[in-house]
Amino acid sequence: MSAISIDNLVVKFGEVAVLRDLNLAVDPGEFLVLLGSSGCGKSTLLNVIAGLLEPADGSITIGGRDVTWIEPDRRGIAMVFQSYALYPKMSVRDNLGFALRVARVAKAERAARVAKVADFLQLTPLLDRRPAQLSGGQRQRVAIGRALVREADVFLFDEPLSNLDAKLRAELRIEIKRLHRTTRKTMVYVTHDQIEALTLADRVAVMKDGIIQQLASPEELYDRPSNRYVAGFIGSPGMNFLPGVLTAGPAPRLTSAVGSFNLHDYPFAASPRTGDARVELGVRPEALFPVDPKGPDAMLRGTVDLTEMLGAESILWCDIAGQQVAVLAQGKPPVAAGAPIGLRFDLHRASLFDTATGQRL
Amino acid sequence: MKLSQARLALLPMFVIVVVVYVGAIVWTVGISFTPSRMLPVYEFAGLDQYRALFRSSRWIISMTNMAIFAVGYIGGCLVLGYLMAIFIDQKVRAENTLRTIFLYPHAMSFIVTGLVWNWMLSPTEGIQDFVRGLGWQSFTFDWIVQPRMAIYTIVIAGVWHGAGFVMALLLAGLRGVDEEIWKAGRIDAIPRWRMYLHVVTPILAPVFATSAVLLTTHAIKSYDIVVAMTQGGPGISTEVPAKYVMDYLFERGSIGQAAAAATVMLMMVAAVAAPVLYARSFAKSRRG
Amino acid sequence: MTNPASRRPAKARFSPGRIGIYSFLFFSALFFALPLFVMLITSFKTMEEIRTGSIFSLPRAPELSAWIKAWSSACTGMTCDGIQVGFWNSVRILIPATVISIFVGALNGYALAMWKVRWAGLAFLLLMTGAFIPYQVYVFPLVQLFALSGTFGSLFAIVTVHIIFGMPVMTLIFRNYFSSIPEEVFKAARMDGAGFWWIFFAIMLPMATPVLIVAVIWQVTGIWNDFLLGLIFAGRDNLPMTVQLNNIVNSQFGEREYNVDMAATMLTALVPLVLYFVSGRWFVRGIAAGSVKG
Repeated sequence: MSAISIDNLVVKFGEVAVLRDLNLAVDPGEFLVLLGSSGCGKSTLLNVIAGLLEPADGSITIGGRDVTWIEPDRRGIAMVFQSYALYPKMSVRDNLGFALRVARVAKAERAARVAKVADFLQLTPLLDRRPAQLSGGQRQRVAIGRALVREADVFLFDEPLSNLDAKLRAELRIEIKRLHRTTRKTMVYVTHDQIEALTLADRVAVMKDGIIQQLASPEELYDRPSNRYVAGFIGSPGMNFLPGVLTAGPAPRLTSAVGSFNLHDYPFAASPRTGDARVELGVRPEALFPVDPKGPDAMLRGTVDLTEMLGAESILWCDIAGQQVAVLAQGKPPVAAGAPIGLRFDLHRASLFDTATGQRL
Repeated sequence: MKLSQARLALLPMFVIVVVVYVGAIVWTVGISFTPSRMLPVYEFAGLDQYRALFRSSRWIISMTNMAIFAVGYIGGCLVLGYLMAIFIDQKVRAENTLRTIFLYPHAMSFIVTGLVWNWMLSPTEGIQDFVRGLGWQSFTFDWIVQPRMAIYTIVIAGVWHGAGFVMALLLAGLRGVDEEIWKAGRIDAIPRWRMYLHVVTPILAPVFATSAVLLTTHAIKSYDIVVAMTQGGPGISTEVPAKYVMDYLFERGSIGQAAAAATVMLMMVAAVAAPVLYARSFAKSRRG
Repeated sequence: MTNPASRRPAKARFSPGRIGIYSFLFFSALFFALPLFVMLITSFKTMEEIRTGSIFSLPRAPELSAWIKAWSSACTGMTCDGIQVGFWNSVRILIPATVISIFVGALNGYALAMWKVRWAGLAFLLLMTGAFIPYQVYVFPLVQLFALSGTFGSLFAIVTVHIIFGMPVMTLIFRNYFSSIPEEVFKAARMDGAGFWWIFFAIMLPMATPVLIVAVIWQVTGIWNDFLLGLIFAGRDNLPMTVQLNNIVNSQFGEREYNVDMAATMLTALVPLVLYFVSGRWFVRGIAAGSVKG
C-alpha cells in the first residue's frame, strides 16, 4: 500500500487547469522530490496534498485513508515552509509546543516532546530565543522541529532551503537527509534545485507544465532521461545535443553535420520508426573525452574555443562544425584554447531523442 | 562649496525649529510662571497659575472629559477598527466598497463630523425623533442635551471619524502577515481565532502602538469636534483642555492661565509619547 | 468502500460564521454611511418637510434651494454672502500653503537624507518631537510674533503657519523616501559634476512622484480641514471655509435651517471627499504617511 496515492488529480485556478489528470504514488518511508522550474505546478501539488488547496477533481489517499476533502490538520501530515513561517512573537519553545498546547496535550508530555525534538535538532540552547534572534539556518531547524513535534507520518517540505545561502543550504541538506535516515518517515520535498533533488531523493518527479515528465531514481534520471526536457533540465553544464537524421533498419545510423555514427551499440528503448527520422543525440559533457584529433579514436573534430578552470575539473567549450559542445575534463584543461581537438564518446552513455516528440528512443 | 548650499537650504528649518519648536514652547512654559493677564508680564509668580488651574472646576471637568473621550475614542477606534479589518480580511465580497465606506469619514474635518452628528443626535429632529415616529413613543436617546452623557456623543462622533483609519492601518498589517504562517497554523490544527489571538495580534503590536499614540495626540488636541458639536455644553459639561486654553487666551484674556493649561497638555503628550518612542528606539538598537 | 470523506462536502455558501461576518460588516457600513446619507437628503429637503418628516425619509421633491442659499446668501455672523466667501478664502490659503510646504519639505528631506549638515539631525529630531505637541502650546507666541511684524490676521500669517506646522510630516516623508534611494545614484550624480540644486531638481524631485502624491493628499486634506489655525491667524477677511461653516451653523438666531446647514456642510466636505474618492488607495498611503513617525 502506498503512503500517499494521488489519482486523476485536477487542480484549477479559475478556469486555468494547473494540474491535469495527475497520478502519483509515494511508497512508505520514501523520500520523493518534486523538481521543476517555477510555475511547473510542483508547489500546487504539494499544497493539494497538504489540503491547503482544493482540487477540482480526483482523489488523494494518505495512509490508505481518502483525505481529499479532509482538513489539513486531520491528514496526519507536517509541513516545512520556505519562509519558515515561525510565529514571530513566540519563543522557540512556544513555537515548538504551540500545536500541542492547542490540542490540549498535558504540560509534562508537551515539555518532554519539545525537549526531545530540541535535543535531536540541537536547538536546546536556543529554546528561549525569539525567531528574530536566530540565523536563517537555525530558524529552518526550528521549523523542522515544529513539524517533528507533531509526530506525523508524512512530512511535506516546500522549498525549505531556498532562502538560505549556499553553505548553509549544503549543511541543512545533510541534516534533512539524516532526519530521513533516522525517522524513516515518508517525505515529499519540493525544490527547483537539482542538486538538492539528486542528493536527497529516493525518487525524483520532474515536472513541467503541470505534468510529471519522469519519475525515477536520481541515477536513472541522470543517465537515461526519458525525454529531451528532462535531459536538458538536469546536469550542469547541460547535455550537448547534436541534431541529425536517424536511418532505421538492422544497422541504424545517425547522419549529422558533425559526422556519421553507427548506432549499433546504442540501447534503444523503443525500436525506431522505419525510414528516416529527425533526431537529437545527447551526450553529457563528462561523457566526452579529448583524444588526438588526427587519430582513429576521434569521433568528433573541431577546435577549442574557450576553457574554464573550475578547480577540480575544467570545461572546454569546443566548436565542432559550427556547433558549441561542452566537454568536462578532470583537472586542468588538457587542450589550450584555439588548439584543434578530437572527441570520443561512448554510445552506451548517450541518449537519442525524437525531435518531433522529444521522447527518448 | 557644495555643503554650504545644503546648509542654506536647511536654514528655514533651523530657524523654525529654534524659533517655533523650541522658542515658542519655552516662552509658553515661561509665561505659565507669571501672573500675565491681557498682556505678558515678566514677573515670577511661582506655581500660582497652576494652583488656580487645578482649583478651577472648569479645568477639572475638562480633564475628566478628556480622559473619558480619550479612553472611549482610542478604545472604540482600536476595537472597531481591528474587528472591521479582521472581518474584511475574510475574503468577503465588495471589499473595496466596504473599505471606502469605512474610511471616508477620515477625509472630513472634525467640524463637519461634529455638525453632522449634532444633527443626527438632535432629540427633536434626529434618531430619537425617528424611532418615536416608528411608534416607540417612550424611546429616549437624548445624550447630547444631558450634561452627564453629552461627552459620550462626542466619543461616538470621534470613533466614527477615526475607526476607518485604524482599520486601514491594521488591514495593511494583516495583509503583510506571511501567508505561510497561516498555512502552518492550518496544518498544526490551530483555530483561526487562536491564530489571531496568539500569533497575528502580537505581530501587529507595533501598528497598535502607532495607532494608539496618534489617536492619543488627537484626543488631547481635540477642540474642533467639541466646538462644532456641543460648544462645550450643555453648560460646561463637555469642556476640554484645548478649548480651555483657547478660551482663556482669546476670550477671558488670561495668558498666564492659558499657558499653564497648555503646559499641562504638553506634559500629558510627553507622558504618552515618550515611553512609546523610547521603547521603539530601544527595540531598534537591540536589533541592530 | 464508501468513505464519507471521499465526497466533496456540500459547502454552505452562508454558514453561520459567514452570516455573522456579513451582518457585522453590514451594520458597520450602516453606521459609517448614514451620516453622509442624512446630510445629503436633508440638504435637498424644504424646512417644512424637515419639521414634519423623519430624519431618514427621502425628500419628496428634491430641490436645490438650500444649496443655493448655503453657497450664496447664508449668514455668517455679520455678512450674508454665503459659504462661497469661505470657499474662495480656503482656496487662496490652500494653494500657496500646499505648494510651499511641499517644496520646503522635499528640500529638507533631500538635504537631510543626502548631505551631512552639522546639527541637522538634532534639528530634525526636535521637529519630529514638536509634531506631537498640541497647537495650543505654540499659539500665543506665534500670535505675538505676527503682531510684532504687523502681519497678524493676514493671508501671509495663515499660510506661514500652515507651512510651519506642515513641516514635520512633510520633511519626514521626503526624508524617508530619499533615504530609500540607493546612495549610488547620488554618488554617480556627483561624479557627473552635479551640485546640490542640480541633483535636487534634475534627479531627486523627478524620482519622487509617489511621495509627492502622498504629500499633496496629506496637505490638501489637512489644510482644508483645519479650523483652529484659520480661526486664529487668518483674520476676519480670510476666514477659511470650516470657520465660516461653523459660524453659519452655530451663530444662527431663531429656528435653525437644517437644510441650509447640511448643504453648507456638504459643500465644505466636498473638496476632501472628492480627493478621497479620486485618489483611492493613494489616500490610504497618504494618511498612513504620518503614522510612520520615528
